[in-house]
Amino acid sequence: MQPKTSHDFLKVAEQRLNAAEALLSADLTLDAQYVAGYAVECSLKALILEKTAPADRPDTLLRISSGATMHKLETLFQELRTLGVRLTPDLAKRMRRFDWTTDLRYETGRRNRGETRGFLRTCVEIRNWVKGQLS
Amino acid sequence: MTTKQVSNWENKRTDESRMVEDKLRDAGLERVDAYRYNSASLRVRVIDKRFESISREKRDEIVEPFIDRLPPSTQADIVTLVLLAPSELEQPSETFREFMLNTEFENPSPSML
Repeated sequence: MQPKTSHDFLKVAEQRLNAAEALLSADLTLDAQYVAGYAVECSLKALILEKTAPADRPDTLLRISSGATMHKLETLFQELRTLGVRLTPDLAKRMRRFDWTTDLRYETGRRNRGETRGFLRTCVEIRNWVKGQLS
Repeated sequence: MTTKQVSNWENKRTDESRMVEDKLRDAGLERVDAYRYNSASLRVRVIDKRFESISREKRDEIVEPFIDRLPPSTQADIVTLVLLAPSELEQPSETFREFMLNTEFENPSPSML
């Protein structure tokens, strides 16, 4: 079912994160990174909805739920900036190493296990940062 | 008469992105390109021969201490950092991801807002 609230989006993020952990346990590192990226995307969308005025949420939900550009994390950061939310320098540092795009779906092979652990750690940090701001 | 061809991203340079380029070059990094992609994102690309044959993690270890010296608000906007060795510019990167990152840096997709 399509997520409608900030808590719905965070629930999706949690599930993608759990799936990514399972994939990493199976040594499917590239697949773990691909799935984990959606945890960050959904966490950021949760925060966008949370920070949006209730009256504007239906339009915002429609906008962030459609179009390829809403998979771009830089676009979601821009949405957050218009709502007065800025990443901390530490999270920005993590994001600089988090080179996730949906284009990962075309990659094959495996990624370094340590790199993948760091990748998932970033997902957890973003999820926690968002979770701490939800009412 | 010759005209200099300007890359798609070069007209996105701002005073802040030029400051980032200057500070990182002054720190000894060979080539630094930066521009503002949108209100929340400054994109930075560093090309340095010290990156030849070393991992992304090691490249980060070279560059991050210099980013740490930038103003906190600037640091918080640098969410895209492309680190390439010169040889990786001359020939397609070994991984599809690096290729896509550099392609997006060179040809920024339209910003939404």
